[in-house]
Amino acid sequence: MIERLLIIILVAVVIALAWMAIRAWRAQHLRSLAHKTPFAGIIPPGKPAVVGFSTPGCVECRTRQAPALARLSANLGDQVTVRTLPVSEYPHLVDHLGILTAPATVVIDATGVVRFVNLGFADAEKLATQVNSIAHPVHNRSDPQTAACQG
Amino acid sequence: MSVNQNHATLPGFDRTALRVNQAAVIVLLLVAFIADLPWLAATTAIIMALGTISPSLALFQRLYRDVLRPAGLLRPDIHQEDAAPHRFAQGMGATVLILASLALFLGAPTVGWALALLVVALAAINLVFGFCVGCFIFFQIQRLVHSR
Repeated sequence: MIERLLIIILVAVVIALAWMAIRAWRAQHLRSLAHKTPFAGIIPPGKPAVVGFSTPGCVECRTRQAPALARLSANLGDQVTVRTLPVSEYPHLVDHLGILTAPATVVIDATGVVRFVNLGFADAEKLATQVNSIAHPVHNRSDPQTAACQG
Repeated sequence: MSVNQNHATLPGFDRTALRVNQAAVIVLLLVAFIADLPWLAATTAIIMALGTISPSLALFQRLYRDVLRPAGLLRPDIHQEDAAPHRFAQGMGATVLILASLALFLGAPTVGWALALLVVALAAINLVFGFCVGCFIFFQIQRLVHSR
């Protein structure tokens, strides 16, 4: 029985280490995007943009994320470009950004650099806060950030 | 702007029920492993499979809805989200656990318990870190289906 308890502890340690490694890898991956403009040719530069990613089978994309993006667009008007892209038509972009689920949203600044990647549903207020932090930065430009979804 | 404005609504999805289900699976499988009880692992597999087939047969979620929530021991955490990825993840877990049970009863305990601990690990990752591996696979399958 002691032997089996030790195996469980070992499994728990391996999971924790693997999770930390994945988080470190994702952070590094996002930092590598700091000097790239993956949306060039898709989203016109000149103002911040919020790009949603959806799949046809993603019910939450239609029922929650799309209305949230519509609300964001209505609230911020011309200050921001809001687009929704189908995952199936931009597979390289999805892989490049490390998007693991749908819905997902990406916030890019006026030069086209990725600043935030939200995995899972992001409400209009959260996206507006992220856009405002780009439009009115409190301090110098930081590395891109990501937020994982629950579930 | 190209925003899809379909405002259809989803039924509420209670994440507390999901967490109770994950916690129950983890506890039962750990007890089964520590006490070397293959029948308990098989029973958990059957419960998970039935819960995947019909939510009304999901015993752990019924325990939450019929006992723990009415008693005020746990509070609902309702979100408007699709239950399909979570059901897919549960079905995946049930399938692996059925294979584990078959291995245990057919005389391959190492394989059987390794598969059972894999299910424990995936449930724990979802419960503790909030990352659903089954939902991620569901997303990748959707990508593959719609890219054809």
